[in-house]
Amino acid sequence: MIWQAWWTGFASLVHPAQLLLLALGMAYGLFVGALPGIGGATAIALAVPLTYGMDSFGAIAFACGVMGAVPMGSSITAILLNTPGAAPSAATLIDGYPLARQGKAGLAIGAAASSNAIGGLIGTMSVLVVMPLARRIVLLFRPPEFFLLGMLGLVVVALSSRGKMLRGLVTAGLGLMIACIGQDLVTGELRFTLGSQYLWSGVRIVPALIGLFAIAEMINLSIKGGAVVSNADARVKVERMSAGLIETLRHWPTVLRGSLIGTVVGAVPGVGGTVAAFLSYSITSQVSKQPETFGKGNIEGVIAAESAINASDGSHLIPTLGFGVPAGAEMAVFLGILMLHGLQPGPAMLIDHQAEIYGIVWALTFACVLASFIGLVCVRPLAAITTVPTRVLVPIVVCLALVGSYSVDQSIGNVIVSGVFGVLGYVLIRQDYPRLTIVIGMVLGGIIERSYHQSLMMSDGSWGIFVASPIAMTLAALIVAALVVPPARLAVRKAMGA
Amino acid sequence: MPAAARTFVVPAAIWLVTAAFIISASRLGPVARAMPLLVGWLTLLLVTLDIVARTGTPVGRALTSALNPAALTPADAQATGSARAFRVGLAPILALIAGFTLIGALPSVPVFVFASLRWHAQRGFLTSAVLAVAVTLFVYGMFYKVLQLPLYPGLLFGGAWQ
Repeated sequence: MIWQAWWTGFASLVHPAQLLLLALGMAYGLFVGALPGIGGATAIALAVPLTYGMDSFGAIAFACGVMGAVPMGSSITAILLNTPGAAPSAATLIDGYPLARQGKAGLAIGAAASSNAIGGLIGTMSVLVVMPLARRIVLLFRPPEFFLLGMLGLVVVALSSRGKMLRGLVTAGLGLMIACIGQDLVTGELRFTLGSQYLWSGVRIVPALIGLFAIAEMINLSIKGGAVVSNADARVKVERMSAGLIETLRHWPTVLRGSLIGTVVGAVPGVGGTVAAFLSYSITSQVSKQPETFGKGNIEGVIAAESAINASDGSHLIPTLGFGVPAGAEMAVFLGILMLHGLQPGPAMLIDHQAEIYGIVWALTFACVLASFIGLVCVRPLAAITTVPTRVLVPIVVCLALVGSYSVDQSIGNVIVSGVFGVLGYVLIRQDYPRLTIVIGMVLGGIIERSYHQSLMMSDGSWGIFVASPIAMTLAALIVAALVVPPARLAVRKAMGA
Repeated sequence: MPAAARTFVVPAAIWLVTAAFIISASRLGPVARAMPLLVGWLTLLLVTLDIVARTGTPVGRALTSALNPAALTPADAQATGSARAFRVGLAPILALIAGFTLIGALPSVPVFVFASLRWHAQRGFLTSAVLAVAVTLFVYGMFYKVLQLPLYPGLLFGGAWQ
């Protein structure tokens, strides 16, 4: 059964139309990934409208192409220009940029590309191993467990907003409030629609995501202004990339360690590639015989960070597809694409759409590996992209984002929603509130509310059902621990320090 | 407004929105209001804690230290509401949305791109015009021709308001 789904997923991808879409997604991902400030979530949010005319496999191929290629585009500019396209590549530039300044940019990019590819391969392969187990586990879950799992996902994501747990929880609450807009799931009663028929079916997730990520980032870039880097910086010499590939193979324990760290860390919702990359970098420098060389151009630093970044991107699929809990902002947008194409991640998808699940895994595997090699070929044009002034880029991206938002279901309400969420997203950026939790709240709101009502119906209104089974008790204990342990640990540390 | 007071603007706005949400939810039927009230009260509690954490009182400092160690500086908050931020970042996008709604996608896209490039990005007339036309052709070609998705005609030209 599972082998058949693996094969169907693979066969659906190895089709000229799908491969073309995968390649187009990769080209777009490399291009946008190289643009600092855009990041994976914005890149994929902008790509959503392009998937409208595609079937579910086509949309999956295109989106996975984008997700697989963004890290490579981002790493190239991190190494060459000391400017990461996305946050995780900040760990790459610690040693990548010094190598480029020493005239070894080719070595660093070659190593980054190859470790990126191996990390991606290990990360996505872990999904192939875990998914059959996830399917068995998910079948043990009933509404109370799903309610608690949704709450745990929200709390974990809020906690992962390092140093901003309270603000993360506030925006998670906002996300849940937004998810309450529209017809009540049980009674059909209209809630918070402000007299607008458009809001009867709730706030559409894709226009809201386009606003929160694409429009908000554009407002932010527009206010900052200027070009990302100077033309002079973009003309760094790039030679000896093949030597980088050899270095990666020579440092195979570093690749393996980084990939495993990325795989494990990436499977935890909210703990994204940035944590994985820095954790891998930090452990590698600690176990190294020459820790003093890190930060001054040690190739192992590049390899450790890059293998972890792509591995975490692959394992993000585990909570996203298995439980419908997006592992990060990029996965939340990807989840929006899947929903747009009639796929609802979670238990139903694990049972009814296994071919699509394995299609995603294969597409991401292909994209991670191929994008690394395409990235090597396109190093110079990608570096040149960053010299485009942001004020030229912003109006073009904003227009495409709004036209795309309208196209979701040809409603002008979508454009207004994108505008409102764009302003909201910008305010959240400036006030240092995490945006990811608002998205997770919006995505999980429906599941949480539905499970809540179903649970209370099952128990005739008794809240005891939320701690009635061993799984529910474990999840409830994890929620309490997640909320209590970090502040308690801080307090203990302070007391000990005093 | 003093810089320190600006740090309270956004949490205070969230507090007010949440309070309005709770009042509105309490008018719903018993089943429909169950989750909104639960979420609303929890959010109100959290945002109240966030406001207290910003006060600089001993309780506020303790809250910040335990739950929000990466606290926002008053300087960051000052930049948020500046007139320049509104003029440069928000106003053009709000104008585009208004144009999009009133006159539709095809006229508002070239006007917005041209105006942004010519006056905000300080590009030459020809460069701005060429880029404006190119973006409009891309929008028309990609969305209307390739994806066969209609472009909004605008309220003034028969577009639906929904």
